Amino acid sequence: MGLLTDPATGEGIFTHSLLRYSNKTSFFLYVVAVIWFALLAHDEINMGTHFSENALLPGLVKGDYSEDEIAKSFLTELTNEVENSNGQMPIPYLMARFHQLGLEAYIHNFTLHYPLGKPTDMTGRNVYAILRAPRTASMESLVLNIPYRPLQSIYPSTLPGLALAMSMMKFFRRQRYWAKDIIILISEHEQLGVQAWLEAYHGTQCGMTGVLDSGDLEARGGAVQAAITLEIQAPRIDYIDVKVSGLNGQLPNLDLVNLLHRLCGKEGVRHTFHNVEAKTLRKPMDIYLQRLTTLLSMVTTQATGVPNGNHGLFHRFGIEAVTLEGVKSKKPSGGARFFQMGKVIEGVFRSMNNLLERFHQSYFFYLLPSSDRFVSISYYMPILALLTSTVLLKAYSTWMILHAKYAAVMLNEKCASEEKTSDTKTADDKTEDGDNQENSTAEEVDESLENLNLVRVGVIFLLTHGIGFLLISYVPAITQYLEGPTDKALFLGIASVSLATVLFTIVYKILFPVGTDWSFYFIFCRVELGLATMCIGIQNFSLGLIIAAIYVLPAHYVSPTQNRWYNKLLWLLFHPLCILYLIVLISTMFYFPELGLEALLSRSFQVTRTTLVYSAVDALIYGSWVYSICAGVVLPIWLMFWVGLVLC
Amino acid sequence: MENSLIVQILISTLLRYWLCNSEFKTSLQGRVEISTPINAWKNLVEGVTLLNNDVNPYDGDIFHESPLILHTFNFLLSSQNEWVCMSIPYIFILCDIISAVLLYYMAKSYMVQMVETEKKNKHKYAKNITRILINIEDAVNVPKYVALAYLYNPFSILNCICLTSTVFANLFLCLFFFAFVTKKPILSSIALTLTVLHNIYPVTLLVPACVHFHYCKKSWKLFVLSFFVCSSLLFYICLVLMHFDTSFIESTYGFQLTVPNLQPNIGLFWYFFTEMFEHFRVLFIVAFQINSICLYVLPLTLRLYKEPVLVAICLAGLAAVFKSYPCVGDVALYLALMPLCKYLFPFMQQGFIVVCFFIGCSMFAPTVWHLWIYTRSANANFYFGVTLAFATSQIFLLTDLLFACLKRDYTLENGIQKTINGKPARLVLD
Repeated sequence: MGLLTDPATGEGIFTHSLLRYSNKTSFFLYVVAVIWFALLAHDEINMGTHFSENALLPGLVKGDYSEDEIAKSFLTELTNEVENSNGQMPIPYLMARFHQLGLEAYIHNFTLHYPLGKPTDMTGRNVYAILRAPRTASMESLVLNIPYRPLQSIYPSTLPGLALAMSMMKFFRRQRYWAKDIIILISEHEQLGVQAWLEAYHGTQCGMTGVLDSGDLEARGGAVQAAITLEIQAPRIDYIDVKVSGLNGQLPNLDLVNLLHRLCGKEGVRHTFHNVEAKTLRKPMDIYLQRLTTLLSMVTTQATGVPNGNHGLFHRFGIEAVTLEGVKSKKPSGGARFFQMGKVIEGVFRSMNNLLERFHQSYFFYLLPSSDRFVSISYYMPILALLTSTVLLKAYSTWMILHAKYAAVMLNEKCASEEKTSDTKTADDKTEDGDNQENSTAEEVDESLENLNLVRVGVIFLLTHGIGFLLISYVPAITQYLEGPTDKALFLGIASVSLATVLFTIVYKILFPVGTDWSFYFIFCRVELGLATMCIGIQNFSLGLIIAAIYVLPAHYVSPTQNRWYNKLLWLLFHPLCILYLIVLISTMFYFPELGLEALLSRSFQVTRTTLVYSAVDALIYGSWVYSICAGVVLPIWLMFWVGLVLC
Repeated sequence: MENSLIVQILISTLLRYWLCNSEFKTSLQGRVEISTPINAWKNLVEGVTLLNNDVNPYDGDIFHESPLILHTFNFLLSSQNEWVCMSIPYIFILCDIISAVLLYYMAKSYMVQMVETEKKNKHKYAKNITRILINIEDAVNVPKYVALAYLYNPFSILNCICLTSTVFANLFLCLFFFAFVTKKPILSSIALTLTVLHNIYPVTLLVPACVHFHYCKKSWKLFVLSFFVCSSLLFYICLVLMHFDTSFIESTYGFQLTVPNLQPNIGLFWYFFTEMFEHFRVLFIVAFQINSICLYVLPLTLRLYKEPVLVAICLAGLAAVFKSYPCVGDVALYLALMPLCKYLFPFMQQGFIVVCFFIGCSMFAPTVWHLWIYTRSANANFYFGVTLAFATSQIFLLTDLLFACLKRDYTLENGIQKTINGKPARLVLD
């Protein structure tokens, strides 16, 4: 226990070098973190995927599905019905069909009271049917979800997927081996329907009370073990894209993802992750770059905290889920047909039917650089630790200086004056010197105690975080109070609050004198930044990574002693709204390179406002955390640094 | 008492009042860090209801409080007067405030005594160490710091608004510390009895108390005798209250000692005993309980017999770390006693790490709990990791405190020497 018992802790070579090269060390750590992240895409670091759960037995049985002709006729019927019902969901047809197939079919009504702006209501209806397991009581169940998209939807149609799923249910109905209920859920309004159904199924409310009225269900199956969302765009598809990112960056168990890729491979269906197929390229460099781009696109998707398919809403209920998007084939021939797709889905459901326990064997925390490679948490978490350690080490070294000063004032200086006073032969002027020193040390004690001004830290902490809390809880009130479209109102609200706080700090500085030494305050700010990012990173690694990558270096170089006006100006650029605008700007430049500068700027501004509204609405309806994290953690921390910078 | 302190008490009362009536209360009451099977308000209400329905509350696995608390709350909760029922949360707040006031007077008396002792021993000290002696300013400020550390500690606020019975345990412990420092053997023995009735671990405080009373020329025999008389009396009252049914012993002390409920908490028992094979259970229960009750008493008392208050603080802290069902309320109490040792702060080394770990663990624990229980992507190891880190940081804090005391004593005797024969000197603890 040398760490505990060595009285010389803090005087060793490690501390000295840390104090001396603090800036360089931090920069070095940052660079190491970036390199480490880049290396994750390399095959030496990441690992090949494998099955951990033996009970899945993927592809062990030969598939029997041969209802593809029936799927085609369902598709024709469905297309007709939809056209007859003006693009709305053909509920009577679906109910009749399900009853005919021998399933219990029910309708689920839900209402959304839109929380922003003027009160408006939106209603929706889901249809679901339950195939009761013949072998057991309804203890567990599996869900097959198909989002229904009306004809006027901007997204590609999912009717082929619905037809396929209905033919699957017809096939499943005749099999005797089911040990779990199978629920087919046709949901309306994209993710809203699934959210309402899940809330009704589990009898909870995830968002703000009174926003989504999820109603009740007439019948339930057992506890849902897994769910598959089908978005098949055409009877003949080019490839299946497996989507994993869920709400708040949660991911399904890796075993389920592997299962889908494995079965697609077995049935000869091309399968991709983020639209990239795991095929062998010639040059190792090409492979590496491909994996790196896939990894980056996964990180950016996960960081938004928005699910990239209906599956993402299942995760929070402990249900493993993925979305299969069958992308329409552009070529006249080739690709996978209903027959192969049906075989894949049959295989998936039979494998999941084999499960004796819920998915728990494999990884829940991973990054995928390719559909057949993964990076486990133990390889990527050190990156976040390295990034946050830059600010934490800075805080530690500042603390060491403060503590050394404090201890020195208490112990050393006295020692010096002791030598002087004990030297009795010295002349009078020397003893006067000693007296002076005594006085100065007394002042130093006061000063070093002023350093540890806990009250100041506490008050500013409470005020800044209180502002964050208000911004989170009064979003509906802001949009209702301010006239005009919600996006303008919300942006105006947040921007004016930010501006007011920034200006107030400056005015306060001009009007009132404040203490000079803010080292302790900055220690606290840095510790909070470091620990909060780690905490966010445990829940949603990508979000934590991006916040850390943006904020640690500026937070490290912010200094309480030598700050000029340009430092303050630079720190203003790191306001969360500015960062959001910059991120939107860069992605707009990336996706629409043809836009002119003016169009680019105004368009990014528009997108920024809508992003704000979307994230706020997601927080209210789905209980997404991104808005709350940005307004309740990142903004207050930024503000704390700003207050420190201006006032010191 | 100073006006500024009264203002602070008012503010913190309002803060507790607001939180007590806010929407956070219900969600906080369910947190395992705050409510354990022993102190949870839910279990108390359950026990009272059982009692009212003529069911022995100690028969089941729900209620583990002492009969005294059971009957007090039976009186309060079953009262026909609605004012009494409404006032229950405010009783908890009041108890917290009284604890803080007791701590304030305790600290005041302690600082006066410390200054006097140092004045008396000044001739023994090395020259020119006046700076590390306790100055007058500290003697005025430290009591305020102690009170504020209890009033504004988030842990004690959470403990209070969740209406855990640890509030009363803390009150009695504060009373004990007050009587102990102000040298009142009988009052301290009564307070200690009341504390021990709630949970068995503070019984270790008997030893430093005896040493203290012995050095203060008070009768430690009187203290021990009155402790045994009081406990017998209280035990008899409990028996009378329970109509001479002894099942409450099994359900209170037995529950604390044999740890049958393995619901996660901030302690170290639950994880270890979920993983444990059943036939080793007795062995490790005994080992764990020896560690938490009697392992540290003698060594600490023998080494630091001149500082019984410091020993008592450390024992209270060690109990909060190692007891079978700890909660943040226990941590809050000994953290509030930390400012008493302000004169040791220049000698402490691990402050930064400990503070970082405290903040970090408070943030990480709810996060990994959410991942484990709600989204099911993490598992028990994550949460245990956090509680282990929390326990480790508390151990760091207590060890650092003890070493700081040793270093200060050494410095007082030998002076501040940075060099020996011209070379930089280094302290080595062996």
